[in-house]
Amino acid sequence: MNRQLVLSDDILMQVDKPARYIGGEINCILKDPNDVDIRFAMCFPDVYEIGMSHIGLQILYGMFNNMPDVWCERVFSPWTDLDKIMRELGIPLFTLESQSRVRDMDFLGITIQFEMCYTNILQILDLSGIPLHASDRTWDDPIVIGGGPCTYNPEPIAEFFDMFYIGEGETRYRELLDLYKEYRKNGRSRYEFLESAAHLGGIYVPQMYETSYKPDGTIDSFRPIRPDIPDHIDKEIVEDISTAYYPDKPIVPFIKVTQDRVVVEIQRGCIRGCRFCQAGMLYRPVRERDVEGLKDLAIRLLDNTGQEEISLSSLSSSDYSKLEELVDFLIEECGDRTVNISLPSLRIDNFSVDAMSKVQDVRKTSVTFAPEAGSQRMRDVINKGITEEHILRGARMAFEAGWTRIKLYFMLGLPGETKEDIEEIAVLSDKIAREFFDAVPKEKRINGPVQIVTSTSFFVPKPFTAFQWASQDTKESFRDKAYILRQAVVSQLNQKRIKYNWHETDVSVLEGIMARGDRRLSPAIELAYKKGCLYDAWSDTYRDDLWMESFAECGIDISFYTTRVRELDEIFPWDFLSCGVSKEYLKAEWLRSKEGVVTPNCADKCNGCGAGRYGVGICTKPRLSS
Amino acid sequence: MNDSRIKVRIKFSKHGPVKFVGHLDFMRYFQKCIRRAKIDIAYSEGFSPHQIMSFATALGVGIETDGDYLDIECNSVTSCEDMMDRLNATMAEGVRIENVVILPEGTPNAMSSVAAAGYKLICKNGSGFGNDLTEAANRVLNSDSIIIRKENKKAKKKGRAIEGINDYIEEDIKDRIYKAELYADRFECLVDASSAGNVRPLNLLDLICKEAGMTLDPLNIQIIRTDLYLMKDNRLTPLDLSSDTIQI
Repeated sequence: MNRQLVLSDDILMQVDKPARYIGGEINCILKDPNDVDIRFAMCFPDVYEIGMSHIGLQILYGMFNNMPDVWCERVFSPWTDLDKIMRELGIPLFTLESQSRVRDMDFLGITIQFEMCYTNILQILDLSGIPLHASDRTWDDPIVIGGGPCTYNPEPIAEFFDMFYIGEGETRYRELLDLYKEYRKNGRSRYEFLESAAHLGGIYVPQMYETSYKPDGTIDSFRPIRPDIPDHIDKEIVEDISTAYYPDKPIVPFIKVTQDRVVVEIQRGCIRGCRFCQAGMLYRPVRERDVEGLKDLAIRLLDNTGQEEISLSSLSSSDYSKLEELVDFLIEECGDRTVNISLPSLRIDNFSVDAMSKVQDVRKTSVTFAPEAGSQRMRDVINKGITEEHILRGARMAFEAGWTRIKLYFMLGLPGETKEDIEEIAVLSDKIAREFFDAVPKEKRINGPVQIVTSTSFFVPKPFTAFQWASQDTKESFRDKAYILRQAVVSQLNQKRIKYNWHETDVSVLEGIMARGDRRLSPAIELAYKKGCLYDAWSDTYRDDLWMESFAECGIDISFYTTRVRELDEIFPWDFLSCGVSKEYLKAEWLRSKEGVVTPNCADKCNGCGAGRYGVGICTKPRLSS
Repeated sequence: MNDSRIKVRIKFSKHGPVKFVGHLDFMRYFQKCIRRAKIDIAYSEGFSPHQIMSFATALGVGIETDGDYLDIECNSVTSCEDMMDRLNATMAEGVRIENVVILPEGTPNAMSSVAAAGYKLICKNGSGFGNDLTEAANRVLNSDSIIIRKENKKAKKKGRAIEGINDYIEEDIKDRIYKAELYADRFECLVDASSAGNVRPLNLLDLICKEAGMTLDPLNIQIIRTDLYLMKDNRLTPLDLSSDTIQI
């Protein structure tokens, strides 16, 4: 029997891509509501095609639905066309599977992957009819719980959440759901439940904490409102990643989504200690999945989905110890099945060039490098751990194998950056072009001349990185730097072979405000939403004017969050959380970056970052110690 | 064309929410179904091989079908029943495989075979079509010619009208309507669906409404395609060559 949709045929015929709102895809889970105790709405606050590309959502969806007493369903942001219709007609937001009201769920879990989705979170709450402020909610509303990387500084949106789950979702949900069932059965109040949940590991209940500020605006103290509430919260971590739950029947969307393929997560965490990278710190220590299990998983994923493409996921796939074995297996298995393999950005060496030539058409694809900075000095500052020689050698290998298109990713606005550092980006791009003309003689240039695409994003300092103390550049400075680089590119010998792209400046400033923001930002977020800000990550819908108006009306000084120089002893809004890596270690890394001193990666030497206290992954392997 | 390959025709139905999945996405959906069902489909040559699969005709977003078709080429087959069972085991809600047949050698492909299509147009609100419309339908359908006006694609280039060419052209579709009848709650018709003479059922219903002095709201109509036919010995035969042929 077909499910009844919330949206009428007339509405669905009016909106773009109506299949976003119908559910019913292959492998989506339907249960009888009478057979379960807990209804969980899992939300990715962006449009369907983005949300369905996120592997974390598929993991938690599968994990919850594996629990017999739980039915987990999906919710995404309605696109602006449907948003308008739902407001006009007063249609409440619904889950895709059962097309039930989100407000009728027990939990609304929101995964927060980037700062630019904050207004979309308010849209989800608003369209669901759930009060925006956690303190205004009753048992008529679901428990609103946030997870994902942005919860490592949840303070700007703390007001809107009942709780945050800090860390990896596989470990603590069962306990939380059991606690919920017990409190509901015994008729306890919502507040009592929140109080009790605040004692669970990894659970942060913002209402149970208060902040006071110094006259200069920085934090004076952040503490629980009662002594029994924990004063700091440690992230949750999966100890044995090989046996952790992983979905082998992910949902197969009807419409083409951004990542339209099955994904095998090969490891979690990263051994590299890039000083700008938040993910590199949050997910320490690195933990590898067993390669035999991954081979078996790959087969089951392809069988159960019928997808035409498979990809590997990790922060740095080249560091996975059994990568060659896994890729060789996939090439053989996928060739038989006519399945494409999409290799993630790998370090360019003999193995990866060989593997890429087997799975890609050199004429149609490009090879990607992310040197992040142009000069060696700057690459040492950010602890990137690669030299110009590595890059040129890798490019040469790719050229010799037939590739002509190279993509290069850099950041502008890194701490201590000089004009020369910026110009070096153009020089390096040109050197790569020269490498092509040197490596490939004229008669062998059958695939055309070299094409280099150099892209820059603007650096945004993030919590739990060595650069959390750094001053962010202003909008004007970002623009000037992009201009310097553009001038430098056009003055190169091979300038016609180099295309330069740069990222929007306005959005980087807003991202910077939110990334290191505090509780005082929430009124401005709410005001911006009420003025009409939505889908801030999309350049077509981003309204910088409305955001700036909102900050001004709320009396917020943007420079306090972005360009201000933070003192070494400042209390940060996120200091009460821990991702394992200690503040002392980050501070030492910040000071080393100023000296341009590099730090070895975790595989070469333990640097004592603090994540070793979890006693898992690479931290248990014998290595040099500090 | 490889002679050792076996041509298979699949008849499917599509009802309910899945009608909002457009034709291109539905093709991708079917490619994945074929993989999950482990049908030994043939692939094209080249660096990015694709399944040899062609649909008889596209189904517009929002339209349901009792019988649409696709042809595939296989390297090997089990039985039609087994293939049908395996495909049905992996269908999404609202999609069913209605029949699987192995085509005799030399059968023209589904796309070029389509001669006619049957449709049911259902009035979604409960009020139905009413007596005024029944009389108008009789007048339109029994007249000597049935003229529809359609936009002249040649008359517009990049949105600008070209002088000397009419914006609309008129066509007599009388002999392309094989059957048509208006009931209280629905309109049924069997019309030409060949690439040269395709008749859109909504245009016909629109004409009837205009005759009755009414405006048709297309959002109030659920279109269901009932089957697709090929012409064989002057009879319309369903594309899966079943025995339900219609003499015209």
